[in-house]
Amino acid sequence: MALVGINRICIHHPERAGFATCMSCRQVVCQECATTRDGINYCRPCLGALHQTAGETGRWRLLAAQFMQLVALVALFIATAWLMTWALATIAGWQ
Amino acid sequence: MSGRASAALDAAGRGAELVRRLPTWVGVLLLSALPARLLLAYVIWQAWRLGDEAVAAGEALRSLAYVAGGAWVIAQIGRQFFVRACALELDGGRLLASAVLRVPWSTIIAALWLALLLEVLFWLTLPTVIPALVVLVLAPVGAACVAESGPGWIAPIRRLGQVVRPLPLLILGMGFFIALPLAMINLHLVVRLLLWLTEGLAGFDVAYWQAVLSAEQPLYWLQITAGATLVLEPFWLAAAMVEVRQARARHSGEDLRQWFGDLVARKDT
Repeated sequence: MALVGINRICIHHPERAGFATCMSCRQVVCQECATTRDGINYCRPCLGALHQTAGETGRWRLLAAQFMQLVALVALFIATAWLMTWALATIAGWQ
Repeated sequence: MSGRASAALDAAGRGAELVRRLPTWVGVLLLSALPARLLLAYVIWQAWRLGDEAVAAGEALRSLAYVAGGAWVIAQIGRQFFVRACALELDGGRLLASAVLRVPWSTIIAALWLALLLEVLFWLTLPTVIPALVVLVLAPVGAACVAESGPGWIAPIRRLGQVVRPLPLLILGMGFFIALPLAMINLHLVVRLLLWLTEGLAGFDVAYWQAVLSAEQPLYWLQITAGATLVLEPFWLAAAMVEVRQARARHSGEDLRQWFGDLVARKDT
């Protein structure tokens, strides 16, 4: 949740205004320290801890999902180039 | 005027205000999108020039399409930086460059995924014109949705489905299509003015550029169109971001809470 209008300071940078509350440790952090993951704000140490607790299995599953998404992206990219060529050639043929 | 129509106009106004407050990120967006737009204009021109032979020259056109696609990927990453800057600016507080640049890779992949799906739909429906225009209007809203929905295969599509309301998008889209020819005329006049100043005041020979940038050249008009869409893109993206935020407020009930707070404050005063 963003701290709109609340004058609090970052726990790691006392010279900076607070931007969000880490949903794990409930500390106020600045824009640079806050990372949103799945719509929830975390500070850097908590995010690191979250990654560690996810463990090896979770990491491999995440990597596999990202790899699959990358493969899908490449396939869609090639399909887009083919479709672009097809659409433009079709319209150019109408001249 | 209906509430939805005024909400769309409000989104356009607040989007313009965001663009005014984020000059650096507008620059990043324009620089990242410029090569993609110019290359796309070039590919279209090549297809136009080939005419009936464009089908036979499919391999050459496809090579150009891959190059334009590569530039398009860079443009999408630039879009995500701009959208994140808009989101952080809407959240309030001082905007830090390091915070804007820290777009997670998973968000960029999700943005490319949704943008590519819309791109496939666009090229598939281009010969039928109207559905392609709808996809064109949806693309910036999709970019704004990803910043709000986070990574995943389905989450950005689901968020796009939640945000899309036909009337506000129709109004915003119509505004964009009315502004497009005006931006094109302005760009054309700027080019003419620059040529006139270069020749008349600086004394350079601009005969070559007069020929290249002639209004009779189809490529020139394609480049002017590309430039005009580029000029309008930050406004359209920022308005889409505001529209996505308004949709989120409606879904979470935040708008009702704010409305109630306003009522209480008014009663107290």
